[in-house]
Formats: sequence, C-alpha cells, structure tokens
Amino acid sequence: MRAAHMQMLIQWREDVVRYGDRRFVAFNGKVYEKSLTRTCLGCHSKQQFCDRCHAYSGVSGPYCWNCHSDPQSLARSTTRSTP
Amino acid sequence: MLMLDKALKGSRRYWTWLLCLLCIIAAGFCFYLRQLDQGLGITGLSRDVSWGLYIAQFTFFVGVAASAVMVVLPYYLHREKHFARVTILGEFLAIAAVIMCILFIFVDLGQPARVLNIILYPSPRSLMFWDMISLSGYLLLNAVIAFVTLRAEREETLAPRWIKPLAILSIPWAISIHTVTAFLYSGLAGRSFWLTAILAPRFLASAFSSGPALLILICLALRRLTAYDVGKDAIRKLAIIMTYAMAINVFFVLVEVFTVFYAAIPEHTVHFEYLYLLGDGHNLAPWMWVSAVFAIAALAILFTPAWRRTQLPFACILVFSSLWLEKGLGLIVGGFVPSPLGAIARYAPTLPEWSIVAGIWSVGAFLITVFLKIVLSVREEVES
Amino acid sequence: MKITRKDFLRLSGLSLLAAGCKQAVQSVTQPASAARIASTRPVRWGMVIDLSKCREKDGCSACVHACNAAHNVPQIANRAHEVKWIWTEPYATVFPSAQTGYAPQTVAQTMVPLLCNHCADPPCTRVCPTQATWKREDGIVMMDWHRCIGCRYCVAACPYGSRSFNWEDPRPSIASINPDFPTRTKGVVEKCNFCEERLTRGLKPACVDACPQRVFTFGNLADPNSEPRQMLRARFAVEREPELGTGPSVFYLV
Repeated sequence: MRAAHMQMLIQWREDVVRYGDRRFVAFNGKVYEKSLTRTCLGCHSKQQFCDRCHAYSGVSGPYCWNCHSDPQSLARSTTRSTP
Repeated sequence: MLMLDKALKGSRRYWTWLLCLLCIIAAGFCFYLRQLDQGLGITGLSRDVSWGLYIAQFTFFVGVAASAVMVVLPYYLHREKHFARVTILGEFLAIAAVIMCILFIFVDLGQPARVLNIILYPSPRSLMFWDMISLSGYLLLNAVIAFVTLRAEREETLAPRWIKPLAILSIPWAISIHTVTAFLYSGLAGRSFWLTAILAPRFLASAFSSGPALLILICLALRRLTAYDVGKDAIRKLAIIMTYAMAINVFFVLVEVFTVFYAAIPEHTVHFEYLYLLGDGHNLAPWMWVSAVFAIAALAILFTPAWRRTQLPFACILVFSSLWLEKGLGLIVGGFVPSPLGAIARYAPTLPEWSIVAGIWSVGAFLITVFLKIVLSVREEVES
Repeated sequence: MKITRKDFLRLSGLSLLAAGCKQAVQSVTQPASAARIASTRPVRWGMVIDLSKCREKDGCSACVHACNAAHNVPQIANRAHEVKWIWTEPYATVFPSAQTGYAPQTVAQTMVPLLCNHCADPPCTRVCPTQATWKREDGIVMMDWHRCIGCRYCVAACPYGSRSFNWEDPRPSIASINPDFPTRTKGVVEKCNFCEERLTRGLKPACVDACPQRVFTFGNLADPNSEPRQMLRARFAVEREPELGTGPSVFYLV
C-alpha cells in the first residue's frame, strides 16, 4: 500500500470521476465504494495513516486536501465549536 | 547559435533601459505570485466578465506577431529588395510578441501548473488546442528562420536553401495563427457580439495595421538611437501597408455597425450600445470613442501624402493606440457585457492586473531589445 | 517491384486524399444533430420545472439551499466572485425574446430557477482544451476538477451563464463543509452536475427532493413513460434559447 497507494488513488479517481464506476471488488469478493473520504478515511484516521509519513517526509499529497475533506477532523472541529 | 554574447556588450543607455524593464518585470512577477496565492480574484474579472485584460492583450499581440508576414511576404515571395534590412526585425518582433502571448495566457489560467493537460489530453474539437499548436509552431518557425539567417549573415555566407521554404511556410502560418485566435471567439453561439464571420478578417486587418505601426516606430527609434537605418523606402512601403490595412479595418467596423443596427436585433445591438453609448454603467464607452477619433485622425494623416511623410511617428502612435483600445480592451469586454442574462457588469482592471500586464509588456520589450542588439551587432561586425 | 520516389509519394498522397474525402462526404451527408445524438442513448437525464408551482415569491429558496449544502457551494460576499449552481432570475430576464410586452407584470417578475441545462450538444464541452468537462453517456455534462486548468473557455462558451469560476479560495466562504462531497479549490470552473453522486445511489437530485411544491420533475427523457416525458406530453414547455441548437435537457412549464 505504501508503495502503490498513489497509483491506486489516481486509478480510482479516473474510474469514479471520468467513468462513473464506483464499485471496487476486492480479492476476497467484498465490494467497496471507491471513495477517499468515505471508504479510506471512513475507517482510517488521516493523522495516523497519511500525515504521519507525509508530514515527516515532506512529500505533501499534492493537492488532495485542498478539496477533499477528512470527516474525522471536521467532526472534531465542529464539536469543539459547539458551546 | 543564439549569439547571445552580442547582447552582453552595450552602452550605459542600453543597460539602464534593460534594468528599468527588469524592475517592471520584477514588480509584475511579485503581483503574479500574489495571484497564484490568492486566486484570480485580485483582478477586476468577475462571474460575468470572465476574460479581460490578459486575454485581450493576448489577442492584440497575436495580431502583432502575425504582422511579420507583411514584411516576409514581399521580401521572400516577391523579392522586395527594400525590405532587406527590416525583414529580420519583423521576424524578431514576431518572436517577442508570441512569447508575450504565451505569457498572457499563462497568467490568465486558474491552475497554471496543469497547463500541460492541453498536450496530455488533446481535444481537437477545441480551438484552444489548435491555437496552442499554431502559436508554438509559429514561434519555432520564426526562431529558426531569424537565427539561422542571422547566423549565416554573421558567417558571411548564404542562408541554407531550406530557409526559403520555411519562410514561405510562415506566410500562411501567420495568417492561421490570427485566424485561429479569431475562431476562438467567432465560434461561440452564445456570444452574439463575436458571432460574426467578419471577425477573422477584422482581426487580420487590425493586425496588419498595428504590427507595421509598431515596426515603423521601432525602425525610427533605431535610426535615432543607433546607426542602423532600414532605409526610407522600407519605411515608406510599411506606411502604405499600414494605411491600407487601417482603412480596411475601419471599413470592416463600419460594416459591422451597419449590419447590427439596420437589422436591429436587440440581442446584437445591446453590445454595441454598451460599448458606444455614453451613459450609466458604460465605463468603456469613452475609451471606444477615443479609439474611433484616433482611427479617423490616423487615416486623415495617412491619406495625405505630405502628412504621411512628416507626421508618420504620430500616425503610428494613433494607429497603435486606437487598435489597442478597440482590440486590446473593447472587443473582449464587449463580448461579455451584457451577460447572457442581460446584466451590465462593470469591468475595470485592478492595480495587480495592470502590473502583471506591464511586466509582460516589459518582457516583450526586453526580448526585442536583446534581439535587436544581436542583429545590430552582427550587421555592424559584417559591415566593418 | 521497383517504384520511383515520385510515384510512391503520388500514390500515398492520393490514398490519403481519398480517405479524407470519404470522411468528409460521410460527415456532410449525415449531419449529427443534437436531437439525433440524444435520441440514440438509452438514458438521457432531464428535468421539467413547473413555474406555476414555484413559491419563490413567498421567500422560498429550498432548492438553492439544498444544492449549496450538498455540494459545499461557497457563499462569497463579493457578488462579482459569486459561485452558483442553481439560482433564480426574473422570467423577463430568462426569456427576453418571449416578452410580448402585453403580459401582466406578475408574469415578467416570476422567478425562474436556473441551472446547467446539460445540453445534448453542449458548446462548453466542445471548447474545453483538456476535456475537463465532457458529456457522459447518460447525458450529464460532467466536470473533472482534477483536470481543469481554469482557462474559462467553457464559461465564455456557455450561452446560459450557468458556469462559475472560483476566483478565490472557496473554503472560508463555506459555512459548514459536507464531508461527503469535495469542496473545490480556487482556479477551477464549477456548475450543477445533476447530483450525479446522488443518482448513483438511487437518489433524486437535491433540489428535486428539497422543493416543498414539487416544482422539479427529474427523470429519464429517453424513456417515453418517465415522469418528465408524461409532463411534456401534457403541457407546453419552453427551453432556454432553443434557436442556438444546444438541445437543453431542462424544460420549463410556464
């Protein structure tokens, strides 16, 4: 995953945006939705999974986070702002 | 090959001029960095007027670039000997102008880092794809022709035989770059101001007047500042070309005005009314009238032989300014206002926008200065 | 077999010319009109908007709010930089050539919801130099925000003013980000996408669901028995700027 995640994300991006193909069937037959926010970040934490390496290595995911949201950090910021 | 060493030896005046240009370029560059950071919102552009000064300058200078054909055609195709000393200037002006055009497009992009997507994902149905091809090709063509012929001159040999077919090729290619640019606009069904077959001929006519105007001014400046004289006949002939082209351009504008106002289709007349009726919200109208007055004054001078001889620099300035206002401002904004839903949006370029534009103009001036320095140095060296 | 260079060039030139002629003749004898293109596809998403039911004059803008919330459409203070996917304008502005001058003022002032028309033959997709906007098989005119270079040629080409450019970073102007849909960055063009991300989950577009008066009817225009097709048979509908030949998929019942 570490080596190939960018290729996978780009492939998923092409499939979803340009071909409308959102179904991913894993090797064990399980069906996932191709979504960065919902599928990957639905379970994994961006801090643990992405930032831990990307912040250290300085390879900033080019511009993913300019648009895509991390649901966990959004939830954290809204709960903090609730009086 | 580029003989850049020739550009490194110059008078104090030469270096001061280049330094001033570099300062303007630096200022423009700083504002461009701000634009990269904050977005194109720092310009005066808006949802209704989404193209403005940058694209208008691109359109205008594509014309200047194409106008090199007005010296290349007589010289290479018709062996017009009087253009011997001016043809290469026209070619170098074309190179500087095309580089300016590319820069103007680049600063107008919202995501410039992705510009290579045009090549990665070719879209032959899009005129912008063909514009990129024709502009790059024209740049390459002129660069090869200009530098190879200059190099041959320096070595005091004849230019290689394959230069002539390339120069001949640059003639239809020059026409094509400006026609493709016109098609960018005239193919849009939703913009009735631009949806006219005469747009491409109008572009060519204004190109062939504004280009020679600038070229004449450059030649006169060279005569004043250096020992390089292209000759009275070359200037006279360029002036005649400019006169005919300007007259045709004004005729084309009048033809448009007649068609639009006689047929009186509201969708078409509203754009001319926005551009020419002085009144509320029509902030461009005074400038369009200035352009018109300049055009008439220029033609009056150019049609009078005595005045054409004595007042030529003034006429050139009038021609260039008139066309800059008409094509470098009015044409683009007029296409967007009123908007498809009838809104009159106000467009006024902001300081950052003007600074970036001035920076790119200065890049062009810098390039043409360096190129001309090389040409003059080579010719001086050969003649001595 | 010996062939001279001149003959070889002549032969290949003529062959290319013949191939080119065949193409040219074909394209001339079978002009692809927007309607013909549209009619051959099994799915053509479309929408019918019933203006007689719209309660915008009573202050209702449920469709606009629903779309903005679902898609993180920024609310930008500077009107010159506004981004809008669906919005309303007076009838007289939307259908200027249909004004007789004799209809009551109430008609001229009726607010009309406007959005991307997802044309059958879109001028915007024709001009995009990177195909960052293209027409899908199901009729939706899509945007790829990863590929858009922000040249705004599509904005110039759209006859309806449906497209918005991000003149500034939109995130500060989004009150509450919906994590289910990306925001966009500065420098790209955006517009209504017929909620393709909802369609894929079997939902109707957000505006259609949100409208309390059922102004919007969404369905497959290629299916003669779909809701929009039934409505189009029952009542007279108008398109925006039909004479341009774009073939909009959005119809208005006056």
